[in-house]
Amino acid sequence: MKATQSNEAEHLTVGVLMSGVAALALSDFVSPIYWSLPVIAAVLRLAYGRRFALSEMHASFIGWFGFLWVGLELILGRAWVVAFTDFLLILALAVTIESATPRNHLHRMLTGLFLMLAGAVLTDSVLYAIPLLALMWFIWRASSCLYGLEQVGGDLATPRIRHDFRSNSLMVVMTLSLFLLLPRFDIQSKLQPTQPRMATTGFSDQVKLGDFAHDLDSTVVMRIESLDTDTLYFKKQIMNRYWRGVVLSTYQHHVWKQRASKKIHTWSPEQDIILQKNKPNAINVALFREASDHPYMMLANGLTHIEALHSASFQDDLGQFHFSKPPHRRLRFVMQIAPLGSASHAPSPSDIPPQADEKNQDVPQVIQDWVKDTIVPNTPPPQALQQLNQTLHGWTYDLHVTLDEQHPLASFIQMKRGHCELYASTLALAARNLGIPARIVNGYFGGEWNDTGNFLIIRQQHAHSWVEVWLNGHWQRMDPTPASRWQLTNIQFPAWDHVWETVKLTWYRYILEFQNQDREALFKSLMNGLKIVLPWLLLCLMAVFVLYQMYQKVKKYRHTIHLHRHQHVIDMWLLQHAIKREPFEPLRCIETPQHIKPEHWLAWLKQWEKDVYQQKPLPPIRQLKKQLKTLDSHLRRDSKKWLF
Amino acid sequence: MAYDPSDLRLPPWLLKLLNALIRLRIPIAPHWKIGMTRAGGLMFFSLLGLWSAAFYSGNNLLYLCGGMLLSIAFLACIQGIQILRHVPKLGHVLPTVLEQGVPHILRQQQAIETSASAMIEVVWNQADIHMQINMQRQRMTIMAHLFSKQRACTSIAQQQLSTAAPLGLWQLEYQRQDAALWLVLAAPVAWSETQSLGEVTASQRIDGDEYDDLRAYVAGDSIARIHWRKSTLNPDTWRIKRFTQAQPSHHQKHVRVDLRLPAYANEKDFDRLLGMAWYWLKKQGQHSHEHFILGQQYFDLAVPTDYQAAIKALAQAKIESMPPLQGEGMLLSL
Repeated sequence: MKATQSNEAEHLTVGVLMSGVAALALSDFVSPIYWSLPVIAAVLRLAYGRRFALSEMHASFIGWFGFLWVGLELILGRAWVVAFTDFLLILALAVTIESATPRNHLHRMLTGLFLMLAGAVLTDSVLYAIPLLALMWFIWRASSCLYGLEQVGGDLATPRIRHDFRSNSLMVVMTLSLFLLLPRFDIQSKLQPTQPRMATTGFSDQVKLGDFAHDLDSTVVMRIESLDTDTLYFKKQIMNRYWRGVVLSTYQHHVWKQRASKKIHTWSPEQDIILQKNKPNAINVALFREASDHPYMMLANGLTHIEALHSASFQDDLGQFHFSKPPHRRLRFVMQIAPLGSASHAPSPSDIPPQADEKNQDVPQVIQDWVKDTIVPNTPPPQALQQLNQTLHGWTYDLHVTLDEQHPLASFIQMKRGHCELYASTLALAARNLGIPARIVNGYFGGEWNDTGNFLIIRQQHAHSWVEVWLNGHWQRMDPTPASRWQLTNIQFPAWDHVWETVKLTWYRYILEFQNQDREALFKSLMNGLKIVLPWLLLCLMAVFVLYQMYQKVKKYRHTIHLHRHQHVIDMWLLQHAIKREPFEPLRCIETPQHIKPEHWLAWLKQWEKDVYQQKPLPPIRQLKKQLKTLDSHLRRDSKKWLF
Repeated sequence: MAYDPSDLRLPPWLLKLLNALIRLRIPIAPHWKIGMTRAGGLMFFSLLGLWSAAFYSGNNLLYLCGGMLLSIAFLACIQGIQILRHVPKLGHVLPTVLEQGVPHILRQQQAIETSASAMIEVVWNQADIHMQINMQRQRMTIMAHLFSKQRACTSIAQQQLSTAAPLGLWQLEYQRQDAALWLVLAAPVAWSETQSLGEVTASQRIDGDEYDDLRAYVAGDSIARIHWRKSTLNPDTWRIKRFTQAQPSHHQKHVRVDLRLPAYANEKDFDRLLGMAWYWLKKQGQHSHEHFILGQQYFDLAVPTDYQAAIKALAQAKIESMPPLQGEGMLLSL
């Protein structure tokens, strides 16, 4: 085994392994400490070569240590998924620093592949495509290199890297074709959810006043895209919607809590949720929900229908929609929403009368005083509430206001600045003080329109609190927060962020959530596109063909003209040497020109024929004349020699 | 092949199963068959497991991984087919004549268009000829160790090419027509008018040490003429230097070979007789003016086709019951 080939095999198999490590490292379940171990070992291995190696037995000790360590982790209560990934990465460490043998190459390739497959189950990141592509190239090249080792007659040289581009491009096309064409079987619901994620974000059932601002970052919570074609209409309809989530009814010691609720409707898996039947002009949307640890579904106002979900769900008397078991993976809902302005309401059973918690008039004194000071005496409660709402709209929105932790509402009223939770809490408590049952709702409002991908992004920073009050036998939404709230943004490079979010959504839509019906839709749209494009395509192909033929003819003609000029120069030179060549007579058939040595003549002739018959253009005439002069100079040199 | 799954210390029953699997050859098209190597077996089972998991779970990333591995396997197969299709015809590289029991080492290089790296096995089943082609970086080296214990004159055409290139996963076999004439003659037996078996006796003096070429050692050759640097301890490998001066002058212009086998002689003796005839024929070379009679066949060596026909006749000579044709010259018989 030559050292160079063996070193190349070593580098390539480390590449296979590291691609697998990179794929698994994208999973939420993998700690950076564990994935950095094999990465550091690989860097050292590549830097120091085989000096940084352990014998197979010593490396196996690391593997056994990993096994025991993971056993200990499981005993200590670590999740089995986390322990499993830890074990795989310790194994990768052992294989990385194992001494280079054919068996070690196989270990690396198999472990790398296994890590990649584990990554496929444990992550859904768009970045997974990068290690996958890298693994494809490394496996191809490493296999090619290993195949060539120790063959009869010595090691075979690995083909040059530039030859891999064609095969790899072909493999990418084949992979995507197989991905598109192969059928999906509807048995995945029998399994645990694939690609689970660690707990991420979500509203809780208990909120302390003032904590709201802590979680408001640019983390994406949902992406919503239209399934219809009219993007402008969709944008107009989907922006400025309230996405209703958790309902909090009990206020005690500056903390809002959820009251006890009961199920009023349950849906089994694969059952459609129909809230309003046959709603005309309903907009079809697909909602991609990021994984979260809370069971609530955030649903837009005007929701009429949700297509079958993979897990069971239910609705409670607070109008909240829950998953029976919170799914730890990204989900895609397909739903219909009524257009804005049509007679639709929040997706709650809004007519369930308020309970004791929502009617509780045990309102803090500071609110009572503020209500008394703000409203005109003897104003009917609904009008008084509107008056209070108007007053609050005139105050200043400040997300980072410093509040007195002991008396947050008092300091809010005193400073007249704060965030939506304070506005909502103040109005809800004020409504109760006026005798109107009220509660606050946490959810999202508005969102950010992505012009690149034409979809709506709802981030954590779009979280919002508003109030629902019981008026005229219905729960009605009131939002006292000033409009300046929505001008806040903390995205540093919005254009780049839009592109990146589009890439992510494309990944979720066309890779992670690709199903049989998507294939049908894709083929239909392809066929439709082809019908439009085909005549143009044929026309273009014909034009290209004609142009190519013309180009070839011109090239040939130019070559002939060029050749004629060259031949004229040669004929003139031959005449000087007393030879008259007929146009049909090949140079090879004429006699050697006078005073030119046959070997010089033959050497030149060989070179000339090579120039004529190769595909490249002929050398310039200047060069030809120079060559002929060289033949003459040989003659002069020889005659000088003879003279002396 | 440096990544054999047997290196993984698999249990013997699994290796047996793998070996049974790699012996399978499945026809994929007329003249084409596919099998798998051990590494290919591993790949096959990985694909099987992976696609089962993908179909069952509906995990699209597993579909992508499976698609990736399947496309690697598929493309390796396609490239292997392309490599075999680009192997030029090899009939012309075979030696015109091979001598019985004398090994012939073939090593030839050729430029090729394809830039793939591959090791290709070439077999002509009709004559049990094995060749290896080492293909890399637009160059092809043909290597073979040709050896035959039997005289033969066979028209060979059915050729089988096989390779595991480019990744060592699939063993592809391609049957094609590549016609050649496989001639194996009896090993030449040196003889002279004095009936000494050796070409030159030790007593003969040679001037200078520039030899013309080498030939195989036969009993009776002078030890002094052995080219020791190109020989080993095994007498089969000994090579005798042939000098221009060493060519014995032969007065005998014509040779007749009696192909009858007397009762006291055996097949080996018959081959030896043919070896003597071949030795004489080789020495005359093409375009000589001698005549050669082999049993019932007459050849005028001045005619090139007759010379070739004489060689062919020697290769396929059989024991005859008739005396050789009448004519002048020395009679070689048992």
